[in-house]
Amino acid sequence: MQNNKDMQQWAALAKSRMPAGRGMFLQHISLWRELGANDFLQRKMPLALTVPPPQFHCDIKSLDTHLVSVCNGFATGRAGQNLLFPEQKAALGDKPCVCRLSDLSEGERNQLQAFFAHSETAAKQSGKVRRTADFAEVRCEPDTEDFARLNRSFTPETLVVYLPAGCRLDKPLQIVNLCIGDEALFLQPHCLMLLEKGASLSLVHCTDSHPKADILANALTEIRLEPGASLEYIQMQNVGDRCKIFHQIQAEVLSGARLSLHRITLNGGITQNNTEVNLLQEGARAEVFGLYLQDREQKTDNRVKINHIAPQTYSRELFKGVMDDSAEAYFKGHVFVSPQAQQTEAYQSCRNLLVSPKAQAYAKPYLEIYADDVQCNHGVTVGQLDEDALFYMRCRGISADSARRLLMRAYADEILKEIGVEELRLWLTSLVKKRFSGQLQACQECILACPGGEC
Amino acid sequence: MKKQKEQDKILEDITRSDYEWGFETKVDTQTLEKGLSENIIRRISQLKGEPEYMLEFRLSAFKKWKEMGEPHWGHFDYAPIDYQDIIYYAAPQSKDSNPLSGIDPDLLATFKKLGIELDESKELPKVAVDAIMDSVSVKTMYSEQLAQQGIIFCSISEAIKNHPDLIKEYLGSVVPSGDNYFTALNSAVFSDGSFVYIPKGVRCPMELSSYFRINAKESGQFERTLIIADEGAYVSYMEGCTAPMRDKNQLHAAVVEIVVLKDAEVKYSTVQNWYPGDKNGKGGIYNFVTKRGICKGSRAKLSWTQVETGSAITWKYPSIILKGDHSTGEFYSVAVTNNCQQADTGTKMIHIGQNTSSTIVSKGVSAGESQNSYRGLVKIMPAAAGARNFSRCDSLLMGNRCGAHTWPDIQCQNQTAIVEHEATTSKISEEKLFYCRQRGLSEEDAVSLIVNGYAKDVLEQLPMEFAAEAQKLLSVSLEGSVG
Repeated sequence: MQNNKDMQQWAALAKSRMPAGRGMFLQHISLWRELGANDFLQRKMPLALTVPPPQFHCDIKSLDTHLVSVCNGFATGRAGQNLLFPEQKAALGDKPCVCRLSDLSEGERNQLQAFFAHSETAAKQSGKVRRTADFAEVRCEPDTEDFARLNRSFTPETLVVYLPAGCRLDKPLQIVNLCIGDEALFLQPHCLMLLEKGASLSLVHCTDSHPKADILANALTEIRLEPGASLEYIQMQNVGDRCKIFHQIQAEVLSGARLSLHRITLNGGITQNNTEVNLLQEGARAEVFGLYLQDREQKTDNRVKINHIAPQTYSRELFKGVMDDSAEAYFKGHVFVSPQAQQTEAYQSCRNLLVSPKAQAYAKPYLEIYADDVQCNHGVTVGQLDEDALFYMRCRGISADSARRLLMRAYADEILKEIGVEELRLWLTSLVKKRFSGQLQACQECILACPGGEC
Repeated sequence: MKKQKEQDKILEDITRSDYEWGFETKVDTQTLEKGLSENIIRRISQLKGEPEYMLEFRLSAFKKWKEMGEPHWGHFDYAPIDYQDIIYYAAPQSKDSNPLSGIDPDLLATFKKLGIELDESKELPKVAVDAIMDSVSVKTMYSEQLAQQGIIFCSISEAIKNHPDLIKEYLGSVVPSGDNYFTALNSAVFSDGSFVYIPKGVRCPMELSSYFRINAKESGQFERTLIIADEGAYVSYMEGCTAPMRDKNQLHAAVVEIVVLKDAEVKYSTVQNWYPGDKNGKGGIYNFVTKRGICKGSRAKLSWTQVETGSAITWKYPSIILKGDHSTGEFYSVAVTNNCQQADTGTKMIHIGQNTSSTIVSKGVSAGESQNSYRGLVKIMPAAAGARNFSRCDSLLMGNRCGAHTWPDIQCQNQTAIVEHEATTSKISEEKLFYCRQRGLSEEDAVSLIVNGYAKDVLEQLPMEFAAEAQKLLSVSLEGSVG
């Protein structure tokens, strides 16, 4: 590993930043903890695709998509190729394009990267007494900023998704991310997504792994929606219990553009989904949905920061989770409304269902507001299934178990019904059904090649 | 556009007001020199004639304090505090005591001016007051009368001397001296405060109250309150406070501990009205307070009600540990910030016992250039089966230079618990204003009416004697020159 020395530095930094103990307010899931762990440096960082990727079949038969396969963070396909239309060359022209960043010409690379230029914000000094003027400024969480920097400096390959102005694909784009390998790996996939004026895209992003795979991933997806663009991004995570996925999405939404983000976590040892949405111009809209179904000892952490920078922006968050066995779920939502962002509407909601005595749920729904003409609210609940509803169903001859499952499915449906890709919605609904009836465990061994269909 | 301007002006008028408790009493004050050291602590202890165990308590707290750092996680902006530039002990000296009550007439007049009648012969509503000026308790009323029922109501200095068993058992049992930076500081230097003990099955016949007044210049106030309600007892306790207007910030770091045993009930109400500083944020009290109660036995009940209108900085999280099964905790708060005030206040509800329940209602109003935050924790421990929490925190913004924030933290470790949290932030709606105006109310009356209605849920929790004062305070904080 040639970057070994740098990685050692990161590991040392992580050791100093590791959250200590399990105090009353401390962060429980942290990439710092993983990077600071002793086995971290033993993990391999693949620099190129070495193993031939398995032939991938999507198990949603009816789902017709443009399929792009990514294996351990490396796109499969010939160099220089537009992965969307294999006969074309990679270029940022008037055609939609999915390709590796390295396949673009230097001019195009610079052109693209200019959109995602980041001023490296100096890490906030913790413990410093702040000034009033500092408050009303957007501040990224210093940690997420660090992890994005880590990803940008070490990612071996960047995937580019580009849609020119006014473009709309005939069918959804599907990116399938496979994590395979017999060894312990550290992956840092990076993706840049640019939708020009008025472009519109439905994206299905699946992350799957071999059930036994041992992966630590620090993924970063950067999204920019130019005025009037619209993106529906459906992310599905279904990885093995030994996988630890930290995925950060940073989005910039310009005037009249619309982002709809669905983060669905079906399985995974530790999953941290970090979402940062910047509503930069008037009329920008964002909706962030999340569904996490956790059991055994799985842990999920959903963090959403929405920055309302411009007036008349709208955001909505809805996260729902079901925790079984000893699963733990964390939610941290943070709505920031800057002094200029008058007439903002922001709604934030997180609902958790605990269905076993050892399950735990933690939520921090934050509102930080510096403008007066706003409508903001948030709500959090933690509880169980409605006893009355259960009783009602049992009165009508439905067994306690079926009634519970029925209620849980109805509960999850509130998130699933927002998904715009119909075939996917139906498939997910049936998957959730299987999951709640315990059948999925049995299918898990063949998650990559399951023939699918109704069970 | 014109209408907008008019409205802004009215808002500005309404939100500008003067602090009427800002006078200073000219009395001789005995002070120790500035600064904090082991020597100062020894001298405070000596001046108060304390037994050896208290000195040890203080010194060990001081040791902890020296190893701690000032916490900066609050949503605040303030100049660093120089802890060596504060007078830690200031006691008003009586010149010629009133032969009847034994109190300096100047002090009596001061409290009278503040609306506190220390004369027991007057047949006014029966409220027993413990009046505290700077570092000493001036007078505790009705002590003898209360003692007939076994109730102990005295200054904490007296309690340390006369009731060492209770003090040894309970002081620091809810808020340990090393709990945080400010409790460590308080434990090291606290000068006076109130002590209440309600014996088994006794319902306290009158409201108890303490009134804190900072008078001396450049001094800090570090009082300590300890309330113990034995099995089946009931007490309603009120706290009020004011300070003179000064250019320099003064530090107030208090600790309040409440122990509620089986079947007992304590109701603690605060109207906090420390000097908030002037329009430009000059001066004002830095209020760093730790308040915590424990419902130790089953079916115990503790309720905090607070109206926060003063202080340049408010850092205050009255908390409840619900240890006894079926115990109940309540927190009602109205926090109004104006000009350059900054408030970061909220509560912590820690559910340990089964079927414990807690309610949180917090209403924030921010105006001017102030910052107002709600910060709260609801923690359901694994053993707290059937626990129930409901929280509601609303913020109202007046003007576009202020901020309103909500930082809740919900931790649920029990499957059978139900936790609900709701919050909204908005400004006074045009529709409501329009409706009131249509019915002949002036714009400023309408604003005042709406704010009062908004805070109603909390105000009606206050004891009678306090409710009127709080309502007045609320309108004074927001009303002003218009009339």
